[in-house]
Amino acid sequence: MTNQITKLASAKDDMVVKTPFWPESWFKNVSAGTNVIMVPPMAKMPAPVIIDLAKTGDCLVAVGDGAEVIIKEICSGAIISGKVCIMLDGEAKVTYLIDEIETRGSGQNLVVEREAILEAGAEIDWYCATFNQSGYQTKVRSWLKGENGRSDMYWLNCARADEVVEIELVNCFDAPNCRGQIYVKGVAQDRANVKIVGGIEITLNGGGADSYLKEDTLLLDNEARIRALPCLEIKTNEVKAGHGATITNLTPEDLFYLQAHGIEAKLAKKLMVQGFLQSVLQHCPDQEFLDKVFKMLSYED
Amino acid sequence: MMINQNIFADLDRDVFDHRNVSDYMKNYQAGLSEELVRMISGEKAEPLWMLEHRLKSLKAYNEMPIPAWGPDLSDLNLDEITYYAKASDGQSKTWEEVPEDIKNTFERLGIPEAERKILAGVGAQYESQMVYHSLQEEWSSQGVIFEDMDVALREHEELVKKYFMQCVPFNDHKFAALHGAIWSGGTFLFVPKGVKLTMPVQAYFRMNGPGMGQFEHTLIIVEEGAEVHYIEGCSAPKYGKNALHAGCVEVFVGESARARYSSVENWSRDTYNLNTKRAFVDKDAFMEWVGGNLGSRVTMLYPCSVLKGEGARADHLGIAFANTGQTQDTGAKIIHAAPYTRSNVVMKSLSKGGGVSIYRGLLQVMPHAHDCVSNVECDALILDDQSRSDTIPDMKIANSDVSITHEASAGRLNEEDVFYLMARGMNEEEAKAMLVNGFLEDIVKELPLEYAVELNRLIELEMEGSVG
Repeated sequence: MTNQITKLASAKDDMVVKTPFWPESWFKNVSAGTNVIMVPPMAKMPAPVIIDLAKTGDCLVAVGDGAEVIIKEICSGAIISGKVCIMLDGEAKVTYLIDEIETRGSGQNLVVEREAILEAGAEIDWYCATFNQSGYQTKVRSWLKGENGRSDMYWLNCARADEVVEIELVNCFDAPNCRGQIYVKGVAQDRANVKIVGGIEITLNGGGADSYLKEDTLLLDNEARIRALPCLEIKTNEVKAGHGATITNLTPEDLFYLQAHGIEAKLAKKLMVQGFLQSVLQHCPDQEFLDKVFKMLSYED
Repeated sequence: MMINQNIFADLDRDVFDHRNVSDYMKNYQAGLSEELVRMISGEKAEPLWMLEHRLKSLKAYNEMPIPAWGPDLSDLNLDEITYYAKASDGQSKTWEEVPEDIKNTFERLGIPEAERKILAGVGAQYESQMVYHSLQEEWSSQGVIFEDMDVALREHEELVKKYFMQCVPFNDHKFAALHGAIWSGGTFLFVPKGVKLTMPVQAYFRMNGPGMGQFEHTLIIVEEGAEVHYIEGCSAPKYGKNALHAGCVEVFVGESARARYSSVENWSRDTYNLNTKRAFVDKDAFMEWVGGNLGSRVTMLYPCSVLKGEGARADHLGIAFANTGQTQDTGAKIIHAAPYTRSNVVMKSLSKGGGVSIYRGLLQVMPHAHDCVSNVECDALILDDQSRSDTIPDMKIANSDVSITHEASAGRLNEEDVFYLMARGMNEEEAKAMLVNGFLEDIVKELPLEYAVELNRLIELEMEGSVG
């Protein structure tokens, strides 16, 4: 067991973990009543570990060397805020699924944040689906502090009616030869208001980073609003960093094609939106999660 | 166009850094006050409305905070800047009348020769005042006005009053307010309906004194169906004392007109270049911005196009080179305020020796601006492991019938390419300079030949010492 896990295990009363992104005070609070989930080194967890924000509150997950685990974050009731920190020791592998379909705030402007801290060779895949949210800020940040780490984020966002959603996704490369991509696909329709902030940060230690950020949004109605901020912050030269962003509507030619083959306009539009969104989660290993998302996508207006 | 020898062939860094004796600076004090503003206005015998505008701007300047975002401006002591200085008594229409030392400066920079060869008109500003202005007879007879702003205010007051600081209002930001209070000199270019200038016109701005501030105002009005290409060059010698450039460029592009604004800004390494450039683009008109930012300690420059007429178009092409101690915070702002408007942004940046280059852009589509198409590309080359490149594009889209694409990349020179060129007999420095010039080619080729040569030469100068 590495130092990190030992420290967590022995420090239930006075736990201080330093991270540049979250204040020390938060970690102090963690010790008071936060759930600490520990995955022992080399463990291969057969079933997903469930984090229910409404029941567990803020949560700290420590994954030991070489362990593999699927974590599923849900929220079965109203919450004020949510914070999850995942620490991955060397060569650990985590698949983190965020089911934001039912996440609800008990007041205005719910903020849910997750941060992963990756040691050498650790890997994390984030999959998220955001539906039916209003006044909601959701954030994910991976801090790759050991070399050869990898953090991929795949995000599906579907905003309808008067929903207001803000999504912030950041990969911070703070060690040599790390990889990571961020891929967001979103739809904004009706009067929805969506803000997507994507970030690639490569520090002076981040030489050899290979990173990409892509934000694709379909803007389906004139009263919907989208604000996209794909940012790069690069402090060294031996890197590959790129980003792309597109904001478009469905192409009338494609709609016409489907209609010409006997599919009525409304259904054609829905099929196209489904096709556009589904592809972002194509590598997700959890069929139950995918089924739930696809069910949401086929929801009748 | 036949040109036997490149005008800028012998250009080197010393040409820009060379300074003249600036005895006249003794007569001018640093710092900003209402008396100074009144003195400038009085000296220029300006109409009352302009004095009122200056005082209004000064009040706004005093009330506004320094921008909290962007590069660090804490080293810029605004009380140490000399806001106004005159190095000669008046403006000349012939080159011979220009005072000898000023003439030498511009001759070293190649301005009169460029005028003879490729330009329709030339203006040259030294410190706060235009020292030379001329326009070929062929164009003035067609109603084109190319004047110093001070002269234009006297001779074409109504026209100036109609457009002056309408595109960039004085309360836009702190440095626009500062500009509104103490602007001096600059260019007024009016191209009447249907007139197409086939040769570019140029203005060159030169700061000479230490701790100087230059606040020239460029007002370009291109009427319906007219065409113009305006080029601006800027430089200043290095003193080790901070200088400030807070110019303002306003371009009004009328219906179906076409304007191209090219600039090569090569201020000294102790200049803060906080410039504001904006264009209003009418129906079916086309505005092009082509810019190279090489000098300055800190640059904050985001040319803006407001596409306010149906079918208006804007192209922004820019290069930024951040060398040791420099921060080049540049970008493009495009506001699609009408349907069927199109924009294209191509920005290339280089950082070397610890320099910081930042692309900061805004792309806004208004709710009623349907069927807009916008493409933004920014590429960054980072030439060593100490340098830095940030990309901060902001896209605010409020209409669904649009097509927006943004693509950015950052990386370093490909070692295999460098090796390939070196295997063919180049040394490493030459090989890198050639690859950098190739990287910038898309934008450099949009400059007139002579200026492209100048820019290439400047980049080669910046690349010197890149190996080691």
